[in-house]
Amino acid sequence: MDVERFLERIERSRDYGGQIAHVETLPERPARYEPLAEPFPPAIRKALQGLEICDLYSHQARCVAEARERRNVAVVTGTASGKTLAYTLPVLERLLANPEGTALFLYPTKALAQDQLRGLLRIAELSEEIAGLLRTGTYDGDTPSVGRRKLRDEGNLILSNPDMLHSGILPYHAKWSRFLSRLEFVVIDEIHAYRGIFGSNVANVIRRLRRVCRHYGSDPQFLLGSATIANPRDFSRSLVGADVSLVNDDGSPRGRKKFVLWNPPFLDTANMDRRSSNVEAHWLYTELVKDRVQTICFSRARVTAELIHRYTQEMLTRSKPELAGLVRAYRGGYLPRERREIEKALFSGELLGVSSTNALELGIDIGSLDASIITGFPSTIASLWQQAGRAGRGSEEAATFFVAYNDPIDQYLVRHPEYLFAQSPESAVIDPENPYILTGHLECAAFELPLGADEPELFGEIAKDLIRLLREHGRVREVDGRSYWANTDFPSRQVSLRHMSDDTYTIIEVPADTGKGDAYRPRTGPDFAPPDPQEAKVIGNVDATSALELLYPEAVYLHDGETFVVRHLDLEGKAAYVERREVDYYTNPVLEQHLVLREERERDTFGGADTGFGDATVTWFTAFFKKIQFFSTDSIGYGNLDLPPQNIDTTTAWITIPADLRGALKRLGKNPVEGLAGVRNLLISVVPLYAMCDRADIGGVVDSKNLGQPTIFLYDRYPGGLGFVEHFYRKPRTILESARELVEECPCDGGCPSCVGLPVLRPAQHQDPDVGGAWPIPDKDAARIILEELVTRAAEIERQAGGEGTARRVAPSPVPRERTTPSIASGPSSGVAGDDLPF
Amino acid sequence: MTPSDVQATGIRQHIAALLRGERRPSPAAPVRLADSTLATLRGARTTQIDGVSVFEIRRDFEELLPGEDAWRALRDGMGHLATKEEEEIYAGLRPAIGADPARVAILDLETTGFWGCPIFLVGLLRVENGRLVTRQLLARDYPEEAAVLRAAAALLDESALVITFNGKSYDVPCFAERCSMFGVKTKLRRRPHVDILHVARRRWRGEFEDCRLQTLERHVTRLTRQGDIPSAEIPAVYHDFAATGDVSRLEPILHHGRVDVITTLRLFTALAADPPAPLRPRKRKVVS
Repeated sequence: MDVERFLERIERSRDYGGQIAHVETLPERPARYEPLAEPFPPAIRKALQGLEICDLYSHQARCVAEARERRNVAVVTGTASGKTLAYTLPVLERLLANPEGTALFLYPTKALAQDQLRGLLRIAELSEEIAGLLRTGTYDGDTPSVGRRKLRDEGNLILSNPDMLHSGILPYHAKWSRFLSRLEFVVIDEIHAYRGIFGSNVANVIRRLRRVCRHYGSDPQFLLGSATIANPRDFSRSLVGADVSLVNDDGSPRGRKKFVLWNPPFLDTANMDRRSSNVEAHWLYTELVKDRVQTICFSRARVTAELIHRYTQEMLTRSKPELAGLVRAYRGGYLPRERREIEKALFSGELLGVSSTNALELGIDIGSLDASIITGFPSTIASLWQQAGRAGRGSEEAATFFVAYNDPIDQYLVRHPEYLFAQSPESAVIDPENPYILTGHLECAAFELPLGADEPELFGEIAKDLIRLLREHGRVREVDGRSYWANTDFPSRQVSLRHMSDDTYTIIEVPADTGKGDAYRPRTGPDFAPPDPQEAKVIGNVDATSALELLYPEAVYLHDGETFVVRHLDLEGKAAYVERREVDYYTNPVLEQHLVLREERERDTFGGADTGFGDATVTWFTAFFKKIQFFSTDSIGYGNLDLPPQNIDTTTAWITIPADLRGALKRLGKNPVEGLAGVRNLLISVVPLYAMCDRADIGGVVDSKNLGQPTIFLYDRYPGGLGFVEHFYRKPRTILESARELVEECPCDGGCPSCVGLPVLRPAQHQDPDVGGAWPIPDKDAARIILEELVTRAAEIERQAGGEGTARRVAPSPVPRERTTPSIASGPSSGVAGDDLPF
Repeated sequence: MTPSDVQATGIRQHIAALLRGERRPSPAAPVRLADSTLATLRGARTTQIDGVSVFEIRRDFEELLPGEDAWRALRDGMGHLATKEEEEIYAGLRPAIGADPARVAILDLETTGFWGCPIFLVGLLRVENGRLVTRQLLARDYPEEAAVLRAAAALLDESALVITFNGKSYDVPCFAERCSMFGVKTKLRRRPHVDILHVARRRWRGEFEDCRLQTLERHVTRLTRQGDIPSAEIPAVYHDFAATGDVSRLEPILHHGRVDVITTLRLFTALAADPPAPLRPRKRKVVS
């Protein structure tokens, strides 16, 4: 597309009010090719011809070379750089040479595996020999049992997900003995999705797979694919537990790209409110579509993806009705058939635009588009670049627009483009040796095969102690030096890889209620009678956690831009009954969250502050909802709700600052609670460096209710806790000193996303950020004073206590340099790789 | 989302203690009774089967159900089979037509759970030297499973016909899978096989409350179980036996296994002879 001309036209338009805050030109990059040392066999050459590929990009050729050398490889290159081909070709080559061999491809979601299967079949169509070789399919929760057996007994290339491997394959490995004993390759794509708790679990599932393979005499090679992250090599190594060669020199061509930072204009002279970002995004989106520029518009929540779609469709209907049918909405919760249809239409170019959540961020093959719009910062730099990468085909010029919300992070980014473009993507951190996580997997491993003396080599030294614990608790019993599973539990059922529930609700459309009385107001609640099944139609699904935030009675459920009103949410039957009704508003849930300290296990002091460690229940629920008018975003009413709360029982660590320090802050004209909010945000950045977890794995609140004084509570976002925030209780000095360094070294003036400015800690996944209301960046100065004081006072107390105190001192462990400047915000709390249901 | 059963919570606290560097003295290992107590079981002995040393409990059918000439009934029943060849209702019996009655094996497994769990007892009912005998190959502890499978595979491979109850869905694939896990060769999947459950479903559909083994046992073979253990309790009791060596825990499981193969045989004989041989009225029996 001609970006220059498009921007000129926009700037001349009546609606333009100086929204373009910055334009960054990302230079083009020519393709670099590399020949193979040994040519491919004829079958693959034929398939490549069919794909119109003569030469491989340098990174593809290097991946093939490494794979041929029987080394593990991680290919870490940009979106649409041909990663799939890079790892598929060596697999096909090996299977052609060894028709008995097998390969397992793992993807973080079912949808992705199904998409990749279609890609694989397209390659197979191009060569009879490959078509004759492949016995392939997806093995997941959707696979019918007949298909399962056939794949198990005959398949040689199986696509699945880690959850299925964990609970559906490894515990039954004897059924898979043929497949596993001949396993040549394990491909794991999108490994950047395996961060934090989920990643630590997946790393252990992979160790279990390697262990079972060893039993059957195979030792598969690992081929990994990843989007750009800060630490691909270390991360790959800890994920598979073996050395991995890194291929990250991207040889694919890239056209010039203009990256436009777009800030909605102020609505009033007081410069407080800005125009709705959704409305701004839809305007840009509509203008692009009107120019017949194929565009993907990303936004943070399902509701915003639907809103932007609806607005765009309305605007097109008025101005260019022939284009109104050429845009669609796309998100998790659509039925597979509908999704396939949209993906295909995008790929073929039939559709001109799609408004999507991050469900299209992962590698679903929709081809490349001309422009992408990113509505609101998607929580990580890595995601931002993934979304931006959806635009740009070959050497043509492309555009990405970042539309800021009126919140401190987005506003910071448009004010400081240099930060955005210089910031390296996040590190992906996992800790497979987290003892709580590892214990669960050792149980699974013992069920699969007795644990022997060589387990520490695979699972780490700590495995020895944990196996001893399992023995002491009668979970396993040692006979002749090996520990056998010694009870009737089925351990893989007790270990969930993700910290979200697997339950789903079905969304069922029922005929509009035309009964007696007020036909407009649907009968809900106990009066609701489930309809005749013949009149009901399943239109989508949603995970159980989200159901209570999206499908409460009287909620407006948006699906492909159409409005449905929820008549009844059946909590037991896990179904939401909706009826199609044209309304001029949508609904936004208002969530409340509490932390209740249940039991104090330990207490201590640090620098005069009280600290503690114990058990807490974190509860959240949808308290009420607001009705928001389309376009104007005016609140036109609300409704109260009586929904059951959701909660996790977990562990918490806290710190209460001394009263005199609070007094001192007040005398300086500072609000201590705002300072504490800043400290809390800093701690959420720092604790993961010591706990080896992702920032989304911990949460924090500042609360006075539990202890009668303002207190920072940090908690593990996992039932029972995983020992993350316990690090803070054990090592307050190290962690508070790191936090102090972080805030002192940050060059910003009044706080920024890199220091005290972390946004809300549980990003409300189903709220429209447009109407969430802006919150201020916490007080940087106050945060710094608190940290400074605590660390100084602690040192003073130790000096007075003399040698006794120094003996207690915990040596501060060095924090790796590149990690002390954590970037922006924590990801979505669900730990899901995208908006999709995982399996 | 709720991995915290009581057991797991206990472990959690100990993991926390471990991380704090606290060491607790290991609890004493459970006292294991000497294997000699196993030897007090009637019919128990260590045998060599196909070069594999295995512990087995071997009992004569005559001793278990005195006065019943089951061997003769089996031969007679199988003699009738050819006349049923065309009858769809008995289609499940066809693999048995023409088979040598002396090379029939009834098979029943006991495992510590369901799929993916170890097999600890292979129960066989065979004809040896013109007499029906039950042979139960037992893993006295977890590591003996491979030897049990190897020995059982050798005995099964000698058979011309395998008879099970629900073996098509469970015993045969389960045995084959555990064998493949230990690298034990077996031809069991390719043996002629009669699964009584399938035939029974067609023959007695709707006559009784269901077609489970114990239901048919009560109504068709008129047998009363005594000293039995419910199937669901077997895995936990075996784990307990394996940890303590307490033979009194094991005995009900062995008895249960013997009654299962006996009933399977008697159902087969009844179906093979059915009709005309009258099944009822007859006196109720008890396996001793």
